[in-house]
Amino acid sequence: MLKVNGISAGYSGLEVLQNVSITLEKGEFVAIVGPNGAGKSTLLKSISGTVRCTSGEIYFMDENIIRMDAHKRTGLGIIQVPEGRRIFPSLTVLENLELGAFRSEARGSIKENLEAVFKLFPILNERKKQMASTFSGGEQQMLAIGRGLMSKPQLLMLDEPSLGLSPKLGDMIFDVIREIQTKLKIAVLLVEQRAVEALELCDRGYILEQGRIVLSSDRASLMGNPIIQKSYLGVV
Amino acid sequence: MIAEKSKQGHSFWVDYFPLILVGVAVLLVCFIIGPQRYYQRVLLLVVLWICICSNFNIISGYGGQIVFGYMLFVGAGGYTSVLLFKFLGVNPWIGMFVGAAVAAFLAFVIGYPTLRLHGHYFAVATVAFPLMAIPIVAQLGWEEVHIPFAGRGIESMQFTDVRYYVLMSAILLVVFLIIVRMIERSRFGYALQALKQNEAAAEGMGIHTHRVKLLAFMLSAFLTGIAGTVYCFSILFLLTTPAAFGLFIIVRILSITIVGGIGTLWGPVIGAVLLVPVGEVLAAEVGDRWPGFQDLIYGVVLLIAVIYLPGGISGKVTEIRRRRKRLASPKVQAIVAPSNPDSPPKRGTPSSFKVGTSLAETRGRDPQGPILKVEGVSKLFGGVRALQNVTIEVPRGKILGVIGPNGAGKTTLFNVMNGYLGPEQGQVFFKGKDVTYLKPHDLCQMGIGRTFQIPQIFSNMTVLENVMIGAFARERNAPRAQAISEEMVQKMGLSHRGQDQAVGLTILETKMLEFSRALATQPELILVDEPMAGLNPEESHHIGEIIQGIAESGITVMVIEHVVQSLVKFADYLVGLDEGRKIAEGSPEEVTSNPHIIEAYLGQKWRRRYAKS
Repeated sequence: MLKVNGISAGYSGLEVLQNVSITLEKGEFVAIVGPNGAGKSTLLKSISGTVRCTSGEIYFMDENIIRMDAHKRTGLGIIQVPEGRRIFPSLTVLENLELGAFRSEARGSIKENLEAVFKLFPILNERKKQMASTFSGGEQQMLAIGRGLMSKPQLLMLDEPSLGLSPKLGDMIFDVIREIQTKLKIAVLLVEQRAVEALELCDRGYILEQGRIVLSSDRASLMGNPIIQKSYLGVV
Repeated sequence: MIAEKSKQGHSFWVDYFPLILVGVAVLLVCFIIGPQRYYQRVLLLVVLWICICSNFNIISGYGGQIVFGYMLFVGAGGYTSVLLFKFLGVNPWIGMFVGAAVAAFLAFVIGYPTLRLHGHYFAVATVAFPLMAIPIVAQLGWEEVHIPFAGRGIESMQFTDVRYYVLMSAILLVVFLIIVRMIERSRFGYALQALKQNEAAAEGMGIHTHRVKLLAFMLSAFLTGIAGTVYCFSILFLLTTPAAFGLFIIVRILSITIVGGIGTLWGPVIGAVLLVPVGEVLAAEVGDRWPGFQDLIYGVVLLIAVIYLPGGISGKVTEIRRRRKRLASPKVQAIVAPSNPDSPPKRGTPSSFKVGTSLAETRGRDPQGPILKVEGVSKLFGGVRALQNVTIEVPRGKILGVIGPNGAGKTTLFNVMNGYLGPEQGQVFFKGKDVTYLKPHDLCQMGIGRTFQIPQIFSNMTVLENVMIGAFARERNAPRAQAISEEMVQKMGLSHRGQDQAVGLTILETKMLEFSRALATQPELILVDEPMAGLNPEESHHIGEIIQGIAESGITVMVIEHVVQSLVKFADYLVGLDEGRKIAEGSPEEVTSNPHIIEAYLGQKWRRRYAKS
C-alpha cells in the first residue's frame, strides 16, 4: 500500500534522511525504532508531506505522492498523529474530534466514527464537553489518536505515542493501537522510543540510524537479534 | 576552577571602538557635506532615527516587548522641554533631562500594570497612550506650539548652523550605542534576551522578569525622552501633536529596526542609513504632489521586510556567517572539544559537579534535617484537586524519585515547590525557612534548580549563552559567570556545541543543556522533571549516571520519571502519587511492589517485565 523508495530529506541543507526505503502492506503494523536524531520523525513527516523530500519517490496505493501537498495526502487517508499530542487546547473534546473529520471523505460518517472512537476510548465520551486543556497527558494522547481516527485513515502514523505516559497508560495505548490495526483494519506505522513494546507489537520493524535504514526484518528475528537486544531492548 | 581565557571573550576594543567610529563617520560625512543645509538636515535625521530606534531596541528588540505606542516617549520628552522653555524659560539642557524623566515616569505608570500581561497584550495596551495624549495635549491648548527662537547658541540649544546639531546628536548617538552594547554584555541584557524567548524558564533561572522588563522600559523611555528634545529643537520649529505623537513615528521605527535587524546593535544603524535618506529625497521630489508619500514608502518597506527578511539585514549577515563557519571545517569544533564529537558525550568524572564555594558554606550552617519539606499541601485547579494534603520530606544529598499516573499531580508538586504555583493550603520549607509563596526567581537564587518536562531552552541563543543565564542567578560578574558556564558545559559533554544555537540540538543534548543550565545556578536541590522522556534505553542510562553524579557531588536531586525500570536503579527513595495524594513512599523495591502503585500506575505487564531485573 505504501512504498517509500529511496527518499532523502532534511532541513536547511542538513540531510536527515539518506536514501531511505520502506514498504507497508494494507493493514500491516510496522514499527520504526532508532536513536534520537536518526530521522524517525522526519521520515513520518516526509510521508505525511510536512517535510519536502529532495529525492526519491513515495507511492501510496500506486500513486506517486512525493510532490503532493500535505492536506491532499490527508485526503488520501494518510494521517499522522504528531509527537507531543498537538491537540487544540481551548476546544472541547468533541470539537477536537469533529475537527479530525475535516477531510470531506470523512464528513459524511462523523457519527459512526465518533462511536468507534468512543468505543476505543470510553473516557473521551464521558468527558466530551470538557476543554481539552484540562486533560492529563494520557487523556490528551487518547484524544490525539481519536482525532486521527475521525478522518477514517487508511494509514495511521504515530510519533511516540507513549511519550510522557505512565508505564500502565503507555501499555494501554499500545493495546489500543493493536486494536485499531486488528479490528478497524487500519495500517499502522509506529515510531517509538520504547523499543521493547514497539517491537513486541509490530508485524515488521525497521531500525533507522543516522538517517539510514540499517536493518529490517520481522518481529521474531528483530527481537532475537543480539545487537538489538543490547542497544534497544536494554538486555544486558 | 580557574577560568581559562574566555573563548568568546569580548575585548574592550572589539566591543566599543566601532561605536566610536560610527560617531567619527557621522562627523566626517558632516564635514564633506559642508554648509549645505538640506543635506545636513538629512544627515541629522539619520542620526536621530538611529538614536530613537536603538533605544526602542532595548525594550522591544532585546526584551521582545514591542511597544506600539513608542511615540509617546518622543512626544513626552519633546513637549516637556519645549513647554518649559517657552513658558518658564527653563534652559533646554535642563528641560531635556526633565523631559526624559517625564518619559521614564510615564513608562513606569504604563509598564507597571501592563508588563504583567503576557504575549501581545502589552504591545496592544501601549497603543492606547499616545492616542489619549493627543486630545489631552490639544485640550490644554498646546496642539501647536511655536518654539521661540532665542538664538543664544549652545545656551538655548538653538543653532543657526545645522552642523552644531549634527555634532551634538553624533555624541548622543555614540553614548546611546555604548549603553546598548553594555546592556548586551551584561547580566541585565542576558536576562532581557532570556525572558524574550521564554518567560517561564527565565523565572526559573532566577530572573525577576517583571522588574527587568520595567527597568528596560523606563531606561528606553528615558533615553528616547532625551532624543525627543533634540529632535524637537533641531528639526521642528513648530511643535504639533501629530509631529510628536503621530503614528508615522512608530511606523518608521519599526521599518528601520526590522529592515536593519531587530534586537541587534547594528540593526537600527543599517536600517536608518538605508531608509531615511531615500525617504527624505523622495519626499522632497514628490512630496508636494503626493503628500504623505514618505509614509507610503516606509509602510511598503516594512511589509516587504516582515515577509522576506524577518531577521533584518544584520540577521541575514549573521546567518550567512554562521553557515560559513559551519562549513569552514570541523577544525573549529576540534579546538573547543578535544573529545570526538561523533561519539556519545562521555562526561568526565560525574562526581565533581561542585561549583564555587557557596555550596559547602551553606551546607555547613544547617547540616541536619531534610533539605526541603512539603507539609499538608493542597492545590486546586477549578474543581480538580491536583494535590491533596501532601506531605513529603526530601532527604539531604539523596535522590528522591516521584512516580505516579499522568495527572497524579507530580508536575504540580514541582511547580508548588519552586514557586510557579501557590498552594491553597499547606507550607513548603526549604532549609527550615518557609518559602511557600516565594516566586521562582527567589527560590532559584536560594538554591532550588529546575529542569522541565518539555525542555524550556532559549532556542535562539547559543548553548553557552543559555547556561550563562543560569549562572547569572548567583554570579553577577559576566566573565566569572562565563567561566562557570564553560565548566558546566564541559562536564555535561557539550563543549563542542558551546557556540551552536540551542535550537539545533538533539533531544539528548537539549537535556544536557537543561542540566548544565540548572547546575550553573549553583543549586542545593535540583528538581528534574521527566529527564528520560523521548530517550532510548542507552540514553536513559546516561541520564541516570548524570543524576547519580550530581547527587554524589552533594546536590539533592528530586526526579519525576516514568521510566521506572531505570529510576529504581539509582533512586534512594521513591514517593508514589495518585489523584493528588501520596499513596506510597519508601525504598524503590517497596514502592514498586505496592499494590496500589501497581494497580494505578505500573500495570501488571510492567511487573512481569521488570520486577526481577
